[in-house]
Amino acid sequence: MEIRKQNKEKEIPMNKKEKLTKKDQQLLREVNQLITNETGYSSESTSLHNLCAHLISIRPKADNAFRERLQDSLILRLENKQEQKKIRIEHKKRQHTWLFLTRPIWQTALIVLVILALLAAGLFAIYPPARTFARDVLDVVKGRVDQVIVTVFENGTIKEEKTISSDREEALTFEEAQAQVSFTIRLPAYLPEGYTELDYEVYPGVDEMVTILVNKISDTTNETSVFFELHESLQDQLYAGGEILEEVLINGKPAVWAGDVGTVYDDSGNPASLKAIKLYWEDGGIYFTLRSYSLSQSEMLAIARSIE
Amino acid sequence: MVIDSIDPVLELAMIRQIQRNQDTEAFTKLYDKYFSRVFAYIRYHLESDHDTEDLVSATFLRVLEGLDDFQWRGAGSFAAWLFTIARNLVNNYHHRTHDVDRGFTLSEFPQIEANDPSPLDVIEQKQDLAELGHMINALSPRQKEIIGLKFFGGLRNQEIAIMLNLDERTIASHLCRGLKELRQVYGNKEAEQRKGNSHE
Repeated sequence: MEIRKQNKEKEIPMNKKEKLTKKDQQLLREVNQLITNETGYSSESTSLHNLCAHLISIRPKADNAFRERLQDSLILRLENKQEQKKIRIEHKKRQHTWLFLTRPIWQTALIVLVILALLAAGLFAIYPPARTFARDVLDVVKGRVDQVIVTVFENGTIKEEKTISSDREEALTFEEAQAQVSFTIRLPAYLPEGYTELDYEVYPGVDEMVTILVNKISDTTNETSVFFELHESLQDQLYAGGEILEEVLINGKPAVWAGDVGTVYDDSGNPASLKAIKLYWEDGGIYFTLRSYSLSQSEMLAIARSIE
Repeated sequence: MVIDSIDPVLELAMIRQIQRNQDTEAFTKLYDKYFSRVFAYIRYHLESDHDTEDLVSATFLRVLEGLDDFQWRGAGSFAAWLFTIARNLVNNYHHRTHDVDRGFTLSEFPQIEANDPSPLDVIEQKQDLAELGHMINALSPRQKEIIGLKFFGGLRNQEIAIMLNLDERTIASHLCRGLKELRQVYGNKEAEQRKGNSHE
């Protein structure tokens, strides 16, 4: 209760009358001097001076043994604290240094994988060519394509082409492909001179798309390259896009020439386009798309018109 | 007991040494500077030497434990923090023991080396202390507190002001008023003594 009373006690504000006089300031200076120098009574001093000196002289003094005992105990505690701190710092250092090695192998591997995945995700997010490359590689891994050609552009011109092959099983034969679709696969009777290799790929699903790849083996390098693609499908959704250039007739059926533009990115991330031509028509409920990067329009028309 | 004036920069350096390296040498220096003053201040409020020793130990233990978190806020801030711990412990002690803090409780003169008082001197000193205690305890609680911190704790007005969250001039004013009130009684007593001496 007494303590509360003390706390509630209102401070007496310093008004003008209570401002410290020169004598008061002198007194405070003397008090400070007395406290720091510990001077005692003096016959020449005032009663106030004597009072202050008296107060200072009666300061209680501690037993020296207690003082030393307490000091020893405090120093001991401080030394323990010092030791504990050292141990804590060492422990922290060890934790940071051996973060990976002190964990089980599977955890370490997981952490490394997560870090790599995050780095890759970051790279793909900020660098489009990396994203394209990753998509192509994924396609190879999934076996969607036999061969992926990654084209690297620099200032609008082809700088480098990399070929990535998958271990995908060999393309289907005509019979194998025909067995997987509900419609009759129709083949062109005409092929330009030198192009005879025919591969078949079937993409099952609602559209039941068959892709007929016509390849040519190079005389000089002995490498096989895709000459043209003929897609036959029950649905027209896959190759319907692109810029319509011209309308023609294929065996009396209306057909359109369309530009097929693929976008690729060069090293600096600038988009560049690679143009193909495609001929697109429908005949007897089957949607045809003939697509090539290198054939002339007249050759493509001849191929299309030879389809029975 | 001479109060050393502590250079604030030096004091801060010692505190930093303790905080960073648990430097025992720096801690010993701080302990030497403050031990006697803390003891005198707590003894001023408590009647027993034994209880005083307990509270002094508790004060320095808390200082040791809390020093890592102590934040220096300029000259006088360490002394103010240290004596605030001591003051809180004194208040807790009185609260726990349901004892009223009577302020000045000394009944014996401190041990002074090379001073071997006669039994008569001891009786006189006891009377003297009792009278002084009576005079001090007649002051307001705030004045008693400030006199305790000033003369027993050896604190500067600035340090007391930080502790009690008051203006430094208010502390000076309280101190002057308290001392003047004491002087009136003390002056009368001195005059009586001189009278008695001249009669002899």
